Amino acid sequence: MTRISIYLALVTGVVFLWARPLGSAQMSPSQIVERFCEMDAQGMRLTPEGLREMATSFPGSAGTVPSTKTIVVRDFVVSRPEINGNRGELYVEYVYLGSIDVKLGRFSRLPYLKVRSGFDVVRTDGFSDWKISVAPPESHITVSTAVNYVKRIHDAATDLSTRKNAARAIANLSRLTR
Amino acid sequence: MPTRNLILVGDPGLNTVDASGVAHNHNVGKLFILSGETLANSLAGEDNSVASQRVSSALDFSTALTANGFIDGTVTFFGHAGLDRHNNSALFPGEQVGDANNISILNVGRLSNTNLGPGATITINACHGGYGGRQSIAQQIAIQLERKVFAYPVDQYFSSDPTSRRFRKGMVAPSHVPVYMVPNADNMQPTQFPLP
Repeated sequence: MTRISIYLALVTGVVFLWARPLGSAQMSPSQIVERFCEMDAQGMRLTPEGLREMATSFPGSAGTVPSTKTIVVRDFVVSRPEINGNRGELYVEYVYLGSIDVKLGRFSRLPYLKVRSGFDVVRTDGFSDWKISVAPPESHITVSTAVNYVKRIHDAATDLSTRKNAARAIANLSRLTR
Repeated sequence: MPTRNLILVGDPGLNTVDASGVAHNHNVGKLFILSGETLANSLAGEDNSVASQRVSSALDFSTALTANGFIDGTVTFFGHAGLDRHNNSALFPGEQVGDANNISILNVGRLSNTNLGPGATITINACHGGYGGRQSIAQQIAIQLERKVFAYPVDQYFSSDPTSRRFRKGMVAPSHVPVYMVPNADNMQPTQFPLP
């Protein structure tokens, strides 16, 4: 009887772990935000497939909202969380380099400002892993991601001015990597 | 004539090592402390008295202004600054999360000039402390304390040479005094606040 119980418990555990979406393994508030920032930096908020993958960081479908603005950043650091029960707050410190106007294919330099963006996290009752309840509306991507992204805008553009803007943006972004 | 001066040193900042092992380094180590030491040595050499204090929150900052005797010389802050989660220009004495660890328009009203002499000045050595002109935290501190504030609208870096010049690739921060926080621009003087 004991052996059967152990066997059942093991099978149930394996099935439970297998059924959990990849990447949602128990994560601390800092880890879930760090993972979000890495995916964001790689440009995953800029594609429907990426957004779907990033949705696992959010409760429900909150994470599927596309970004409203695209900021190019040097890097990011994630603060330690302040936890209050099942809620927590963190900041991510970005160093801004510029912004991309997706419609026009333009890149505009910004002062190298340190910006501490707020993140709120929440732990659903009964689960030990954390999800992001509030994240900045804008996407924060690295320079190399930005170059690839603007190349795609350039190649997809049908009007000459967008292609020109994008070509100039690629040149300006490439200068930042030197 | 010797004066009483106050040096405030903020938290060094944080680092994050991502899943790929890449370090994102915003921690300046001991460089704020060394910058404060450099200034303290210079002031003490002229027979002035100096109080130095580590500040990690708005409360630390405001307490330091009133708990270090009568300051008739300078107050100098070495630390981080930028925009907070509400997009307010802010000093970041603290590296922990929460508005109470920053100084911004949300809490600048709690700073007191009770122990600041009428000729005392405040210098902000922090990236973009004066960025945004009348919207900057430098302007708000100047208005609140009714004293002159000096700050730069650009980023700053660490050098063993106090000359203001543009940062070039290959420049390395010094590891011992003297250490100066200089603006990343050629021949730039700090902006004086409040702006009219």
